[in-house]
Amino acid sequence: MIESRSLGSKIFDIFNHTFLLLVGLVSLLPFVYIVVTSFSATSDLIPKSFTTEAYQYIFSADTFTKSLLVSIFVTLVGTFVQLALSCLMAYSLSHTQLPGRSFFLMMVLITMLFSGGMIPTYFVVQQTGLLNSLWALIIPNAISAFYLIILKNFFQSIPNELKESAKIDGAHELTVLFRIVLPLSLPALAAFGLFYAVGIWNQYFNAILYISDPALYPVQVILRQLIILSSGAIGDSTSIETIPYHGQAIQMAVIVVATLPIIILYPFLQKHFAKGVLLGSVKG
Amino acid sequence: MSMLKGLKKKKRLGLLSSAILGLTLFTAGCSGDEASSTKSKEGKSDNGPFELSLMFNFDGVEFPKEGNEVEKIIEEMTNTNLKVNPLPGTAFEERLPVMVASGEFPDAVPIPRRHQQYPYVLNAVQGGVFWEIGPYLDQFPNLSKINKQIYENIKYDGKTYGVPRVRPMARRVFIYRQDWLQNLGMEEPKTIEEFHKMLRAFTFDDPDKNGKDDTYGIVMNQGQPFTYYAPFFGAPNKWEVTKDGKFIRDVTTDEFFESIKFQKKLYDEGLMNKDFTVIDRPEWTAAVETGKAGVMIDTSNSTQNIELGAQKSNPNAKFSMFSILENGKGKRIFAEGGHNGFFLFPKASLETEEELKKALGFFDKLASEEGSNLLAWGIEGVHYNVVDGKAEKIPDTNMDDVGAYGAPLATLPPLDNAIEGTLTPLAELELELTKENEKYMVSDPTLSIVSDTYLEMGEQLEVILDDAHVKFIMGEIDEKGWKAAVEEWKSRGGDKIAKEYEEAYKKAKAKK
Repeated sequence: MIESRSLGSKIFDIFNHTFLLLVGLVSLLPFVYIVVTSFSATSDLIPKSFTTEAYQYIFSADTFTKSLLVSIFVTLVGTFVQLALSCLMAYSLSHTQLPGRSFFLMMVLITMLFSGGMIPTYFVVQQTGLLNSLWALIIPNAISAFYLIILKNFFQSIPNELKESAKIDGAHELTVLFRIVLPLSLPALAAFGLFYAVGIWNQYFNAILYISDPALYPVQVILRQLIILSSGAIGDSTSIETIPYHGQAIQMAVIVVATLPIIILYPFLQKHFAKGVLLGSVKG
Repeated sequence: MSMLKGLKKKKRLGLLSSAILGLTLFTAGCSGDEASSTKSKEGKSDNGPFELSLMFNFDGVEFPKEGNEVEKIIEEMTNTNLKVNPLPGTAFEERLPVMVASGEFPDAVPIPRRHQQYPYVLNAVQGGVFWEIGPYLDQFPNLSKINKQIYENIKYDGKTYGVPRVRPMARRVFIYRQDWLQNLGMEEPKTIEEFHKMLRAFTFDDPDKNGKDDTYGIVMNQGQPFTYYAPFFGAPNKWEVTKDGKFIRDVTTDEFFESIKFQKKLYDEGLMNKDFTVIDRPEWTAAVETGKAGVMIDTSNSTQNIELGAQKSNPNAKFSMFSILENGKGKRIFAEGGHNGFFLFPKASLETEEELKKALGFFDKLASEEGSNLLAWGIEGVHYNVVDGKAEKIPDTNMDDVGAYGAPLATLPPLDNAIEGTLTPLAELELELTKENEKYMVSDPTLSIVSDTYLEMGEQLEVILDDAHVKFIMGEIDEKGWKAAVEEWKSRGGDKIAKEYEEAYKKAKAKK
């Protein structure tokens, strides 16, 4: 027997759906606008003409394709390195009986609150010989203190009995980590992996500070350059290059190119997100 | 248990050490070769080419590859071996302070115009990081050709440290649609009143003859200062020095207030865009290029690009420009610094006078006739031919590679020393206008003097004025509100800034 719903509840549903639809549209429309503009010669919501000139212009520079490869490489390697380092450290810190644990945690916390500032950091990078290498984009921010602490809590939330029983069976610490703890932490790893990847992919300032060889620029630097070129905002036309095309389309195309890889990544990790990120911070 | 613990410890140690080992391997394997400029120079003896490392901002997509034709020609001409490190324009400005702090210098440091009085530059100059080049200049004929006033504008404590990239001193222009003006049967405006008429016609009389009411007069953007009309109304250029050495700020004068009343009129009558506080550069140029607005204010060298952009969608679009509008105060135009940044020469990389002279010699040689021809016209036989002693451009040649070196490295304007040649009508007009403007310049007396309060909080104080200015134009405050904002600016530091300038001005005068 189907329950007949009251009028009030129906009205509420209608309102609810309209409201949610509006919210959805509001967040979707800017994206639609960006994509549409990048393919059109005019800046209207309803495109009057379709053209891929903006994209052709972006990809016309060798440097752009090269920088795309650089970015992909740095993102892949960097995410792996950063996740590996974070996991190793978080796992060590998740042992309550680790000597000096509170001291290390305190040190981690301090870095969350205070930073040395740009120039001291530059000196550190310089003295460790990272200048002008891709590692300068990976090592300096390799471990995020915040993610580290969440990861640590996540590892701690895994029942101790599991680890103990594994050890009784003769597994040593690394085996426990790789065979028991990490497989159980996949949601968290997926989430933090994505955060790290997005972070590296969007990295711009570090590249500018530490890298002076144009062949090693990640894509963001080149994109920013294209944007500035296309907007004609060259402080003092020190450049004779003329932009072959309507600036706004190029800017929008740049946004599409810069965000697309990350957007593509998202659906694959979506299922881990729902339960992944802060799971470890709540004991229950 | 204790045995377990011991085991664990060992393993932990092992893990730690392997991690450290791994890290060191990473870093050791991948550190790029650093372009440290403190290496001893080659070419110290007078015969070999002098090794010159340069870093500058490059505003393009791709810098020409090493060993390109232009670089070869420059190296041969100046007897140098160039090591160029081009940085994207944006990266460059952020890199500079770090570079100065770390003391890793190329042989010439280009300081952008906006950084002239930034603390990091001031401190470095006062700390003796850079060579004072004043005493050497007369050995370099082309560098000493540069307008003395411009050297004056970039002095620190009355001494010359920099070689400027020269730009016209007064190059603010109104860029307008000439074909619209012809459609309307009007003449280029000479006075504020005629200008107002032109904007009205651009807005209401369908200048593009498409039968639609889809145009307006002038487009402004958020980044633009509001002082464009001030000179025509008789206001000072930022500051005015009275006979007894007092400094008066433009905003405190009645003339300035008249000029913002005029802007309000444009706004109220709908002759300018209502969204001027939010649009940025691309939308601003697009408004003119797509035929919505008929006028914009920019530097004289942009007109050509604007016209090219507009002709993509409308081949009949024609642009022209003018600088000065009269309004009963005679012809006046504000002078700017006359440079787009300047080169400083660090002692860390140029260790001896000999090396400094070689670096200066490089810029001097680039400004000679031979160098100027290259930067102005390109490579002979590739970009231009000489016909009857005049340069004639070869059509459809690409000057990008030349521009990549010319724009950041030219000090004296290339056209000053190059042979004559044929220019586009707009480029001719630009030369004429900027020359003409030099007769009517009103200069800003504070360019080369420093006020500590201004450095510290001047920018924040400007915000008070800018806000009030915008609000006044939009009708949110009236004359009383504007005056109150000026008073607030004075009390929060404006008066102090004026006092400091007065003292600095006295000092600088005493030195001369």
